[in-house]
Parts: sequence; structure tokens; C-alpha cells
Amino acid sequence: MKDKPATVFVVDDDEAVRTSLRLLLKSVGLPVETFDSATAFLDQYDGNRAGCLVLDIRMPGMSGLDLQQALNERHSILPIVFITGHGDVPMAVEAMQAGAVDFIQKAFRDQDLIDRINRGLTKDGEMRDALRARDDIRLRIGELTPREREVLDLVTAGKANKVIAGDLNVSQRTVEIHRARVMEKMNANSLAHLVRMVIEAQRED
Amino acid sequence: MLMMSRQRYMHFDPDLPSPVVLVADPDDGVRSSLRDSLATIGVRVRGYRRGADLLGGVESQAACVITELKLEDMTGIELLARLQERGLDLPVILLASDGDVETAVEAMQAGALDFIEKCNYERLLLWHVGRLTERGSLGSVALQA
Repeated sequence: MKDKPATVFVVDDDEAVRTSLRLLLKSVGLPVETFDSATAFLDQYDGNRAGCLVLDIRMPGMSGLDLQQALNERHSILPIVFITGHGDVPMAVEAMQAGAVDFIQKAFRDQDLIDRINRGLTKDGEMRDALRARDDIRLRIGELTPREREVLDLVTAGKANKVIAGDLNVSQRTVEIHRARVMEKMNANSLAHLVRMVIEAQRED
Repeated sequence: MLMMSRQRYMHFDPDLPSPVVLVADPDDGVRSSLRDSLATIGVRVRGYRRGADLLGGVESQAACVITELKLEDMTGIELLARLQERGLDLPVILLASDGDVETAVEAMQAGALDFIEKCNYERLLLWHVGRLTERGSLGSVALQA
């Protein structure tokens, strides 16, 4: 199944803003979907979809900052560009500390907003690539036999074949064979590469 | 905005070596007031008038850097960039006597820990530095959003 193209999701309670942003973004060829409230977005957004969220900070009911927090709790990686009518410094700092990629005040120049959204889309693409690479490593680890898995853990813990052979109560030659299989299945070109992959697979963020 | 409803920062061991915070601010009054307030959580301040002076005396063991946005020889954001260029991973808190949203966003994107307007900054600073040096007990300080 082909993934949907990266989309700009606009959440703003002001219909005039939604309309003008939709026209603006379409004019530069960016797919755009608009939502009139934070809850409407939360109900409809599929967390796997790539893109960038353009989010009004002040909305009745659930605010933009509330939506950011709800998305963070869901471990969303969708980059957020906040737009605000009258922002102040503490509000901007709070949004940025919570992981927003940008924060822009209304009366912005069109090109300025487009540039910031494009930076968000680039960041989203990079993060999704990194996550895919991590999933791929985890998949490969999952395909190891239990014994190969043991050897992987011991090798990446820095133990020598001789020590591993002792730990597992097998011959050194057997360890060498398992180790070669692990390197092959993991597609690792060196021990350092293998260690990096294991560290990457263990990352949780 | 973080607010502390009560101010109790004690519970630190006076025998431990004091953590050091590096401060860059051209205003003698600001440096001395920071020295006094951070002393209440057992943290020493090493003050510098200019960014270059701080860079000359910087050490990686410092708990953090607190810098005014507008220094005489560079901006606080430039100072942050210089520290990063040197591979110094120190948390940097910007203090702005004259800050706006745009500059705050730029500072945060550059990797600042916080950007605080100088009006009423003392409690936020104590909170940050206390946390970074584990001297302000969070358990004793109730935080409200």
C-alpha cells in the first residue's frame, strides 16, 4: 500500500484563516487538510501519516498547547508550527520547550510561513526515515535464533569469543560460526556497526 | 510559565563542593543579584561582563550558563553557538531585558534551555539551576503550569 503524501494539517477555529491557508498551501503544491478544532483533529488524525501540523494556539475548548500535549502523550512525531494572533514570550518558550519546531505570529509573510512549514516537513521526513531504519534493525534482530541472540548480546557487550564460549559452554569454533551468522543476518560490516545498530534498536524516543 | 508556590530550596549538603554557574551580563547589579539568589541554593556564580570573557574562562564542569541576550560583544544566542562549536554541552538560559517572541523562538531553536524575560526571572532561574545541580528539591517545590 502506498503511503499518503506528506500533508499539511491546519487546525484553526477561524474559518477565514483556514480558507486562506488552504489556498496558500495549495498554490505551492502542498497537500492540505483543515480542521476547525483540536478535538476534530485528534479524532481524525491517523498518527502514522506524514506531514506537518500548523496549529493555532488560542482556540475555544482545547487549546493548541493542549493538543500539543495530547499528541506528545501519544508519542506523535508530527512537527508542529504554531501560529498565534497575540503571542507572548513565555507562551512561545513553553511551546518550543514542548517540542514545537516553530512559532510564528499572525501577520506573517506568506513565504515565511511556507519556509517554516517546509522545514517542518523536512524534519518529519528525516524522523520517519530514522524510525523506519530502527524498525528494520529490530526486525532483523527478531529473525535471529535464540542462540544467535545470546551471541549478539555477548558480542556487543564487548566479550571475546573465548569468553563467550565459556559463558555458553560451547566451543570457540561454534561461537565463531554463530557470530558470523549474526553479522550476516544483521547486515553489519563491522563490530562497531553492529554495536551502533543494537544501541539504535534499544532507543525508545 | 512556571511558578513556585512556595520557596524552599534547602536540603543540600554544605560539605559538598559547590556547583558553579557561569553568568554573562554587562550589568553589575544583575550579576550580583544572581550571585546572592543562587547562593541560597548553595550554587556559586562566576560572573563575566562580556561573552568573550566567559568563553575564555569556560569549563565543562559548570552546571549551566546564564547569559543576557544583548551582551556588549555578541548576542546571547551567538554565545550559545560558540559554546556548541566547542562541543560544550552546557545548558544555556537566556535572560532578556528586551526580548520578543521572534528572538525567543530563535533561541529555543538554537538549543537554549529557556528564554526568560528579566522582569521577574529570579524564581524560574532558581528552579532551573536547582534542578540542574540537584540542590533545589523538587519534592519541596510545588510547580504549577
